[in-house]
Amino acid sequence: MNGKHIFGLVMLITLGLFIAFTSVKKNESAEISPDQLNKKIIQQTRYFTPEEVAKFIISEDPSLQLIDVRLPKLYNKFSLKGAMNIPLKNILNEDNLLYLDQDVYKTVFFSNGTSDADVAWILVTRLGYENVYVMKGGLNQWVENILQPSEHSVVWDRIDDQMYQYRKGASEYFGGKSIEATDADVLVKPKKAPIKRKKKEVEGGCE
Amino acid sequence: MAPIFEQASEWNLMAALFIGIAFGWVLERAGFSTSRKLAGVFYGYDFVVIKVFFTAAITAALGLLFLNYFGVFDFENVWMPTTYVTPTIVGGVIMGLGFVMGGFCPGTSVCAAATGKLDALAFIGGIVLGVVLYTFTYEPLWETLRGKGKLLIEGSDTPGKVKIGELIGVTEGVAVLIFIAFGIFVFWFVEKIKKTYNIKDVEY
Amino acid sequence: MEDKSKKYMNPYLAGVLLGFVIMAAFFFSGEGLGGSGAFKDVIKTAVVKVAPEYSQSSTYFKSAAESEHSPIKTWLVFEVLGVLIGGVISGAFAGRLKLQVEHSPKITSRTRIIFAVLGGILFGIGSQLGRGCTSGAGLSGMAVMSVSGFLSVAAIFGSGYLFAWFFRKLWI
Repeated sequence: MNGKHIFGLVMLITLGLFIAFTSVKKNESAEISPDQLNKKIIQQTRYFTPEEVAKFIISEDPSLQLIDVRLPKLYNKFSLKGAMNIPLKNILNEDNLLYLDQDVYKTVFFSNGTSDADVAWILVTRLGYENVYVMKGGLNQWVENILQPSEHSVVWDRIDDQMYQYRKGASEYFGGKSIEATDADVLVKPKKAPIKRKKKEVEGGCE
Repeated sequence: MAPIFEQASEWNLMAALFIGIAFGWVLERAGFSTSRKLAGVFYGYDFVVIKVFFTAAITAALGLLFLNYFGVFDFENVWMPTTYVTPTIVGGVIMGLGFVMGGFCPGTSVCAAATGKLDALAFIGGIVLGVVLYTFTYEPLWETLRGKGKLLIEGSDTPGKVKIGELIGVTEGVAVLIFIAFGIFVFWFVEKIKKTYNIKDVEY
Repeated sequence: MEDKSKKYMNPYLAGVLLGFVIMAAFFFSGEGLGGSGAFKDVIKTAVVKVAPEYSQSSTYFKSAAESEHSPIKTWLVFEVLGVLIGGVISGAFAGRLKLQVEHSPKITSRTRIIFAVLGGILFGIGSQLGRGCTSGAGLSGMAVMSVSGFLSVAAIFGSGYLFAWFFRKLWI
């Protein structure tokens, strides 16, 4: 036994004792693998149509969390009822991720079109967050389908008629016909989502 | 967040090359490129294999748990062999026999061949033959045996991928501590043998 | 005074360094070190190239034949290439590069070569059956505290000690 051996022994035992009091934790930012991401991307179930989103809003679905990923300037002009604003460039901020990393709410991203919301979706999905969706077609589609439903936009049949009636109803609900309508209902302050995180906490030990 | 590189990327293959270089370098430096030193472990005249082996395994296990503790590595989500008890033991026994006969294991034989050992080259030829033999007799001889004895632990969501801690019912940290204690005992034991029988380090 | 570089490293220090290499493999690539897997990959590629019909009919080769990626471009193959390079570099620095058949003075080179080939064959079979060799299943398995790794190491060394007596003439 020389000095080096004793040093090695002491190091081993100290580090070993330390690690014995910790437990294996699942690291929160574990990214999903590219092939898993690919499987998720091509699934159409990650989209909600504007009609579906409208239904959620009208029925005051408590599990809905709408996220407007456009710039605050646009958000202040017009957004969906109850939506909160997290601009795309800020989406990876710690504070914002707290809203997204949970599995109680269904988080629906939307922007003017689909693509910005899609980017947001991919970013958080790579972080392994569940229950995130995109509103297909974005606000443009929303305006077209919900706020200004047109009889002539599609080939007319019974199903379309039902859809038209539905859209018309929805349009009235959302104070439709005009996008300039800055109804009090449209502009609501972002609700605060209770922060619930599903992750294994480190149990016991010398924290 | 580890792993840093995506699995099939060119970067990962580059990393593999550099990690391999480091691996080969350490093996050569430790004296693993000579079969007489390696085989010594079975005859009690050289314990370098046991010392290097256990120190490496302990260092890596401890290090990975520390990386996990600091949040840069996901210990739960790592490459992990599925435990099939029967083929692992049968394969291990066959490999042990191969070890005393050939004096190498596949990794060290590559390293030894790199330093010009022709017996290591012969050993590599043997491995190739062995793998070919295995593949041609896979269906009649090995296929059923290979899937036998899968170790299952209740309540695990990754069937068969069992860690020591899960098996004996402690956290992985405690399991590593036990492993360290065992390693220290082994080191003490081999040093004791060396002293008792007055074995000198040999150079080949 | 003896040239210091010719001496082998302190085994404990070498072990710690090897441990760091294993950690690096897991940290950068999420893979464990290995040896035998590379041989399997190369052989698979060769068989699929040489005998495509056979590889279609064999369970063992079917996955390799159907895979789009060349199995030769795998992590393990590159890692083993690295081992080769690393061995040459270290051997060159330590002045240990020398073409030779290394054997105990009591046996001939011929005997050594024959037993090396036999040992290789056994390792080839055993590593396929046991899902990896000493480094792949054993060392990397132990690094992630897998039962499989400990079992494999116990079996390899246990059987080594068991059979050592029969082959003692080869070494001492």
